[in-house]
Amino acid sequence: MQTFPVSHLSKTNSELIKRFIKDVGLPFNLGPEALGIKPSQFMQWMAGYDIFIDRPQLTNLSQYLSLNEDCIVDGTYDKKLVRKRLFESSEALPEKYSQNQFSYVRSSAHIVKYLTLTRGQHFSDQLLRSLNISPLIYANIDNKISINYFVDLLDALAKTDLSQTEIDSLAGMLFLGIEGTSLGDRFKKACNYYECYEVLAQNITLFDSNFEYTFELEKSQVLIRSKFQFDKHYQEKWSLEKILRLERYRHLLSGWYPFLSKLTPVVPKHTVQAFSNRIEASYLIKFNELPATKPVGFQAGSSLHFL
Amino acid sequence: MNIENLCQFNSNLFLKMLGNYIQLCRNGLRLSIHEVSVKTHLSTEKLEQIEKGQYLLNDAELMTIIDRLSLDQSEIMNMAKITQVQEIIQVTRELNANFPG
Repeated sequence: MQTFPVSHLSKTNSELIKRFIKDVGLPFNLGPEALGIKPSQFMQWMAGYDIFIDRPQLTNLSQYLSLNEDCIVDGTYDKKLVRKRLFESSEALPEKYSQNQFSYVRSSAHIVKYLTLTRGQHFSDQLLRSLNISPLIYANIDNKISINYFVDLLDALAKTDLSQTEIDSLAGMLFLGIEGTSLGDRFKKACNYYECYEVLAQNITLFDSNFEYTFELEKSQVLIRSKFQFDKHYQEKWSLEKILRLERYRHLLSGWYPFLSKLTPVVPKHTVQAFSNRIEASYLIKFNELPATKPVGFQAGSSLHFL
Repeated sequence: MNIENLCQFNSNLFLKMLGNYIQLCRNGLRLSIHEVSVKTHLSTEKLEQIEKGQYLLNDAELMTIIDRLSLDQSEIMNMAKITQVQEIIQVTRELNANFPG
């Protein structure tokens, strides 16, 4: 997690913030609120008087605009995005997340919720701001976004203090995002693995349509194939590390859908192949090798049985 | 809602998350620890410990806090489920280690 020194900003940084405000055209009537200072102080500061602007004001400004603090100071912010947020909507997305919006934010809502519950709102807000995303985007889980965002989110998580074990467990938190929704209710009604994956097959596009899915669903097993074509998606050149991280998450996730139906999660047999123009993966789950619809208990004194 | 159920899988993790959640709601309501203390009749020291996840509160104390800070009970259940997920992962890892392939 990023930490800041306790010392105040240098005068140079104060000037950089001022330049930022002038550059993006922050209206003077919004300035005091954005910085969290009195209007008279703001105008004096802008007029060149020696008003002390320190770390809290920078934090306030970054929160106000949902921007990373560093990019304000070092000038690497996206001016168009800031202006969009100021004058159109605070939910405007950076270009690489706004093209080919084939994912619903519900596919990552559980991750943000988990981070908020375990580490607090500030942590998750800061993480989203580091990606230049407004936390308000999760106000409606039907909002759409590019898969680049999800790849960057996993990348950002890997750089925080989360261990790989904890990142792996994020797939299991899916219930946080969809429990209590109509989709969650459909999963809840499934009584066995077959019905659970049938619900998934019928509703997979409610998570994303980046991948072309085929479900070979039989009474004894399900084979899910997914194909991601690079040429159909605006995407940055992903490193192999990013692809593997994404596939690792998707592999684990494919085994956690039964948890939504109160069934024990599974670890599917998984294959993944990365080609120059596409990624192909398959997930095989054999139902007859699974424990017989043993629900995951949530009663006092209950225990987990896998065998 | 019963604290024994909520804590059954990993009480440390659950209490830590509950503490975060209480702090989040308190900040949302712009209340100081002292003000919450007055509302709940719990000492400020105890409340600080609860927010840090270092105090195992009893059912009555939990319900008082839920009531006075208008906490969402389904979120508290979610926290317990998170600890359940972690527990399942741990068991699965042990199974994988013991029965590889």
